[in-house]
Amino acid sequence: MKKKAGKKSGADAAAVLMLEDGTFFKGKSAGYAGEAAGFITFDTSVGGYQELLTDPAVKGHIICMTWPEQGNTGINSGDYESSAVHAAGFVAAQISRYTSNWRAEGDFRSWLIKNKITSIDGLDVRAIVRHIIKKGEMGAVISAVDFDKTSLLKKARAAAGIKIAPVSTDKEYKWDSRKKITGLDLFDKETVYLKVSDNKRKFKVAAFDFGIRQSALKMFASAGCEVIVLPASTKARRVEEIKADGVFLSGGPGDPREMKEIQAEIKQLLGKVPVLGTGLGCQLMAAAAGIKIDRMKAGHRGGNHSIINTRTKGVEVASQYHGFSINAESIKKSNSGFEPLLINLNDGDIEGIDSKKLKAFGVQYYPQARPGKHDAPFVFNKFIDYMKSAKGVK
Amino acid sequence: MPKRRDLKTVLLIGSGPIVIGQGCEFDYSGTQACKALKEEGYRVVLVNSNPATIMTDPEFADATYIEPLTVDILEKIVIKEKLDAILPTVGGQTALNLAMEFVKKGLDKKYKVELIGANAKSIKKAEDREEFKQAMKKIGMDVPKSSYVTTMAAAMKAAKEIKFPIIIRPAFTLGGTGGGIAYNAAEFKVKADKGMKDSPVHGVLLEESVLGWKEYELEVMRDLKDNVVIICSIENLDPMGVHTGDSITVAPAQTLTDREYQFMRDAAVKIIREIGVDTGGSNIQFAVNPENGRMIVIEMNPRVSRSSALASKATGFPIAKIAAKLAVGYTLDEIPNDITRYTPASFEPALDYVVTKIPRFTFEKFKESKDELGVQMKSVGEAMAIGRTFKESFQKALRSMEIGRHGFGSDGKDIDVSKISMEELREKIVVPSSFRIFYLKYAMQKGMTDKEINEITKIDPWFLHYMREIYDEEKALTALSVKTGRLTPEKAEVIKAELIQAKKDGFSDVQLAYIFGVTEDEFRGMRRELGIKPVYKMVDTCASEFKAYTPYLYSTYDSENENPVSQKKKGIILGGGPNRIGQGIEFDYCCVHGVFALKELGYEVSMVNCNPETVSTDYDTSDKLYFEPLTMEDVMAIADEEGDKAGFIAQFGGQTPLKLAMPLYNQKVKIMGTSPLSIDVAEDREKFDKILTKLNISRPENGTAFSLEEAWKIVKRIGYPVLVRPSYVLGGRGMEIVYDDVSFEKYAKEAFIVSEKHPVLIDKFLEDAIEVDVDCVCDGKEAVICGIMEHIEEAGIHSGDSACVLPPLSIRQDAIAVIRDYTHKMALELNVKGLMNVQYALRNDHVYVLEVNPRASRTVPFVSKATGISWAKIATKIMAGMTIKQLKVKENLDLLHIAVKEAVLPFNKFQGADIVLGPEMKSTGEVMGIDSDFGHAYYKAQIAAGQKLPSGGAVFVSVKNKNKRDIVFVVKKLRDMGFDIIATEGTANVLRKYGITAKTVKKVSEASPNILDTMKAGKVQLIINTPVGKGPRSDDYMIRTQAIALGIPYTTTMAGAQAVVTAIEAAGETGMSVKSIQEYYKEARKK
Repeated sequence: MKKKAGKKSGADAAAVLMLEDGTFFKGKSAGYAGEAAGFITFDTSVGGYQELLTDPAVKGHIICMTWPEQGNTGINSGDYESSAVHAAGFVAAQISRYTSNWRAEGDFRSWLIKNKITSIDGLDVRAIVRHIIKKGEMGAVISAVDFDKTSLLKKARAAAGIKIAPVSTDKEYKWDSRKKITGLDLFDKETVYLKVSDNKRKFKVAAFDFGIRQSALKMFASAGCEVIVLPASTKARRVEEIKADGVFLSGGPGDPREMKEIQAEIKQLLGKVPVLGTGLGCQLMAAAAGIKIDRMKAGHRGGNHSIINTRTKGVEVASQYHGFSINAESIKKSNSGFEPLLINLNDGDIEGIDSKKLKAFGVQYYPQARPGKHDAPFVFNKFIDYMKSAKGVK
Repeated sequence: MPKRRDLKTVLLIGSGPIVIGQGCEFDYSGTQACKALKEEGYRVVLVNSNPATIMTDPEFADATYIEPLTVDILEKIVIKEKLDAILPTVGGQTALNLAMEFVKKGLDKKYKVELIGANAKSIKKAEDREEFKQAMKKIGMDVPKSSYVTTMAAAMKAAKEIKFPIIIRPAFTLGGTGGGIAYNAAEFKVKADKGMKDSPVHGVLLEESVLGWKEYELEVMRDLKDNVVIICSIENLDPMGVHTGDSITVAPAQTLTDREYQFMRDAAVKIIREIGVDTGGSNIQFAVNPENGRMIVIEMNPRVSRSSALASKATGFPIAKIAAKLAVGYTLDEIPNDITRYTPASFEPALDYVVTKIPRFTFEKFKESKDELGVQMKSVGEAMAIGRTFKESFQKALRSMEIGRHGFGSDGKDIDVSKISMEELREKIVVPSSFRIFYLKYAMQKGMTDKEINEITKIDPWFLHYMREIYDEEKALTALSVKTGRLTPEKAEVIKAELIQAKKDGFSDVQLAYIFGVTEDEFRGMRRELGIKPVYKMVDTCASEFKAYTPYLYSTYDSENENPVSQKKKGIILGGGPNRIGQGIEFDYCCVHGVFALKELGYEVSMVNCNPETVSTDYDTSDKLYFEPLTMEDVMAIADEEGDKAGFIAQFGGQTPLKLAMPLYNQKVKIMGTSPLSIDVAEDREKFDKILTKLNISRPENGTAFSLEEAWKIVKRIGYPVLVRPSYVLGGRGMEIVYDDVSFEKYAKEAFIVSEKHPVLIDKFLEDAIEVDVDCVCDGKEAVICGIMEHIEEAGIHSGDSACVLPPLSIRQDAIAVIRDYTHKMALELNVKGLMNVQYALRNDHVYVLEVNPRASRTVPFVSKATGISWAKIATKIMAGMTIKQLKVKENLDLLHIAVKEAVLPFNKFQGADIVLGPEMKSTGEVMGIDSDFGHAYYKAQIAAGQKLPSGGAVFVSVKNKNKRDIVFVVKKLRDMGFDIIATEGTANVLRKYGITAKTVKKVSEASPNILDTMKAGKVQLIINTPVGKGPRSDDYMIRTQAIALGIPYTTTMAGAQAVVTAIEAAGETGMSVKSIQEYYKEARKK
């Protein structure tokens, strides 16, 4: 994931997209007129570009939005999911030059320029998405500075192999739920809808930061938990030292199959303390339990898939961004105690695994939404219930 | 959950006639629901009084009742059909109200019938304003603050809490008179005081004003397992204050952050759960303060709605179909998504395009009524367009409207802004109207900034920004054209990039041709030469994530074409575009039958239309659906795409596709059926006169005028009265009957304006003639009459507004024989292949031809329903090359039953409009009454049309001198049936001479208590009033408008009065009985 210096603006200046298989699109530079190489993915969310771009899980990705009109509502300080912009590049049919929203504190194009996120619009986004669906996610480069096809192709091919550096905190810290985020007042009500369990006991949660999102932390805070955020490299014993009641494995970027050391630590925790994993955290937990993880041809990225709970038969619409899946065959063979709990109704993919014995539970999607639906507070409730039963409280 | 097995027979209630606010979207939803329930094996019973619907086709239900939508009819059906359940949520407000009335009378318990979809309690909770408000408060939702006060002190106290601006609504005043809006305390004092004085109970409702707030709608679905999904979000371009049906709307919402959207989504989920709509779709409306994001709940419809039809078309998610399946017990995850087949309905559609809907108005037909939009809906139809961006979608929607515009200005139709003052301009944009959207552009042209426009109109600046981008692009292109001069192929090559960009931004060929000073054809030629062609993308519910199996397409200028073009034999049917008065559901009915017939013959059928309300634009009606504007450019693009194997049908969709027939033919596009040359002959006076002379058929004396001078010459020759009308219009637009020089001068001038470049036609008007409508099919060698309809109202009333009866009642056999003969001769002479409609006038047993249209007419569905034969299907098969012999069609002019068609008029929506019928069509819809005799059939038709014919009480009679002798018989009959007669002095005197005593009442112009007061006091049950004069000053006018306001049944013609009396008599003797059309047809076959 390289970011070359580019021109600051670029009204209607040309920009191009090259995929590693040679598929080429011409468009217009919209925002930062630089160059970015990365892994191209598509996302079907309608709103929420700010949350998406600041989600550490998108690190190294060039995100192609299916919804054509992007950037309409500008940028505001309340919708950050982390303090940095993680996406490598941004592709849309149209990136707005105009901002209209009472919460907006800045416009999207300027923000892209300020954060040096190369972005391109005016191309046939649907054609790109159809190509990704057919051929799978792959390396890509977008550029407003290099128009030489041979050179671009080389860069796109190289992009597929770029290693994604982990995103994590350097130091352990206690999440301060009282920290006021501006622009949130109106939406503090959202927690009312989430109906997270009563947590009179105030559980302490050890949250492993593999690229943690603000909204996940906020969910724990609203459930009355005390959250200690730990660096990704933290050893299992630290959980015991801080007397955590449960462990949260956050989502984030990267290939879980390569994170062997982290898997080893998680393996030690499973069975000792209730665990909740989301996204990458879920995959790491599964891998630690000996379940095979596969790379998906095209990931689940967006906010409209429905997922069924195999126990309750209830259906929820979930917000997702994952490119690795849990192998269904291997879960049966693994003897890990985990069983599939949530199934994607579109393609049968396993979206959640649960082990009553281990008091461990993982979901592939974002139960805390943002962007996306608030349909899944049960994930947090379930985790709290596991912590309750581990402590013997009712 | 599996489907319910305890239910066997389910009744579906339709929405009745098309009226403003309840259009053909409910035929779409009802048809889907019928199909869905039949598919599940239920016995489906349907009741709907509207014959022009697909749902009332005999094959869509097991028993179809074309009967009035009243509780007693419903009860009779319930008894007869042994119903288990009623689905009241797919037939609009009409069905919901009827079901509620049924429950209120305890009939559901009495007959053990269950309401499915939504129960009575939930319906009431959603519909009752106060209950709804309480429910919303209970779950923590914000609603507009309000307070009901009866004293000034209380009002002042309430004002402090509510905060300005405040809306003041006096209690119990007619049409809300005396209400208003106050922006400050001083204004408030005056208006609240006046409001209390105006109110008979000295009370006013004070309400927080949300005018100018952003307006949103969410379409929500819920199943029995309490799973909830949001199908679509819709944002209104016109902010709060304009009825959502009259607003330009965009889907999905554009100016909400994800946080706000999810907040709204959470609210919608909570609301549907609290209201308790168990299964199916609901529509929830929100207002958002643009200043601070405060969101309030406005209302909820616990049923399928106009917006849900729009949402279905916008997303590809068939809301009504799914709602019907949920109502019988399925859950969302058990129902497959038709488009993707392998994914379930429990998802939220992802859109990768922008949808714009623009309402269609017909203010020009109601001259007394102001072109102003408010909280009461006034539009009669709508067009929807799909584009990749808002700009493209918006411009496509504008050219879909068929109001002579081809985009956001720069089409040669813009006004000269130098002739309008800034002051006038402000006035034009501050008040929402049917034309405001174009004045926004003029405001920009005149130098107004987006900020200023936003301050005046409250339209979100995001929309204004993109409108300005379109305007800026127009300026840039115009500058370019000044530089290049008239466009040539070489010059076009140089500016290719600019042209591509313009096409991407939705500029039409007409706009670009205008900018570059060439004709549309020339421009299209150059564009195609450069290879600038649209591609077609699919509406697939999932932003291409899954494979789509239904080719539901829209055009755009992008790189990849997804259109699966086959080499099969193909038929392409051109639809009617947005509904309007004169061109509505009847034409869509014919299109849909055209699709069915071609499918039966093994064709691959494509439908082209831009009307989201229709059955024709349901993705599973045709094999391929092009959701496109019906303009030359867009249809030619489809012709290019589909190639030589495709034939087009242009005679079903009304005037819209008919106008395209000739230009398409000139471009060597294959037109199926009657040649466009024949259509031209029938439209061209001179050519047609020659044919009539040849066939020895008479028509009223007439002439064609290209100037006012010529017009005068003609009128001098043929003498008064004359019928003046512009040519090439549908629905009698601008048509008038004229008796003297003064009015002639006035109307002839108007006709020239409406007619634009075409001539004005002048006919001798045959007074007191009987008008007859005939539909026939012809294969070029043989013709068969489908039905002969006798109009109840005398000639001079537009056939679309006149009631008619089939078979004819009072026409002598020899006259019928002449009509038959003429019809056959003309059909063969014009070499008609398909349908043809003829209008005749009968006077003194002489038959005159008034008009011939070699295309599907408005009466085709009525004739089809009355005779039990789908004439549009037969016509289609003829167009595909089959003969009448092969189709085994026989002419049968006798029926065992009588069918009456009655028109439904929208006067109650247009304050001030006069309700007199004339040669210009004004009705929005129709109903059918069917029974074994005329009296009952007519009675049913009247009841179905909303005329509550009385069985007793008082009749007010006021007729013009000419009718005074004829009225005697009618009045005597009413007298005999026990009615009291009320009349003004003149009429009363005449009646007295014939031995009928009438109570005299003072005229409107006289002091109180006059006739208006008598009406207000509820002392008049029926009004017979044949008008002496037109216009707002006449007495008659005041009486008629009052009748509309009070809902008193009225008739304005002698013939109508006679029919009404026959009907009251018939109903009084034996009441009403019900019979399904399947039973009628069975009896007819037995014969």
